[in-house]
Amino acid sequence: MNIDQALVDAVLEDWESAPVSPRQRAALRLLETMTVHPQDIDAAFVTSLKDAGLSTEDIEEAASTGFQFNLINRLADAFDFDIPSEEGQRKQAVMLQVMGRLGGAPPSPSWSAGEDGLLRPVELTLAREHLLSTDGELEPALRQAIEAHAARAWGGQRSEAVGGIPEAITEYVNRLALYAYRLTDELFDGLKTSGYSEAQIFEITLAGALGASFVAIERLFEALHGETCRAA
Amino acid sequence: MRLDLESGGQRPWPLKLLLAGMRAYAGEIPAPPLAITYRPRLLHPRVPGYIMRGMSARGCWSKGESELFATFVSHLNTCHF
Repeated sequence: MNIDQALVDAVLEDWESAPVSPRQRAALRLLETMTVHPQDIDAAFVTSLKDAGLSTEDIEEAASTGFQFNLINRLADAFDFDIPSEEGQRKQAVMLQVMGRLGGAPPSPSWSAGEDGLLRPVELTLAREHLLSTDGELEPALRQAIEAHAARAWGGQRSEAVGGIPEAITEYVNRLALYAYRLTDELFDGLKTSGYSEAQIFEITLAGALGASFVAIERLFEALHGETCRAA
Repeated sequence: MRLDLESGGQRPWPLKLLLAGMRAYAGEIPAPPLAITYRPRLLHPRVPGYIMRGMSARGCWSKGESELFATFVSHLNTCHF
């Protein structure tokens, strides 16, 4: 289905009144809730999406796009991604489509429980546990603390046993999690002044962006699959 | 960009080759793959595929709908990328 620019503009202006199908409007409601108020995701919310015509697969696939752009947007704002030219955007879209297909089919079941007991897409459970335990430029305990700090900023559940984060990175991680568009060169350079290398700043950013982006998908997967998981 | 994501990374040669191919095709490398592969050992091997799947049309939604969703999320985040 082709989406013309006028429809995109209408959705961005007011998605609730834009001339989209009920199914598309339900997906937009899911994406808005994931992005702006993930704490509202619960079983009743998922039921309302299904009543609007979305299947579990529809919800998971739209949520996958939502998660990934919430993550990519945070990385883009943190690192100040270059905006490609119009021709570059067209070619890059082709490449990303090809790479997306190389990603293969989603696993079945699509969900798995992490060591923390929270449900996420299988790959995200693997991603989180690998990121928080593997050797890197930062101690894994600090990466865990950053991930937890960013997740808690959105109401995510994290163990009380996870420590706090250094004051020198707190404002950076808070902005990254809550309003990444407010990250500035000064804040970024401040991390370097505090002694963090570029590789360490990358790890801080990745852990924080993932933690903040995980919360919505954790709440969604609990609402979608929590009963099934506990019955298994 | 605030980090040199292209030459500052620690990528094995197959990834470098892939990125070089992208540059040859498009003249520039999309930032998301550059960021995702900057420190590849931090990411479980199945994660890049998941990330990239989210940027392409699959079964439930058309390419146009997926692009609309991505644009909508970026708009909500006040992100110009």
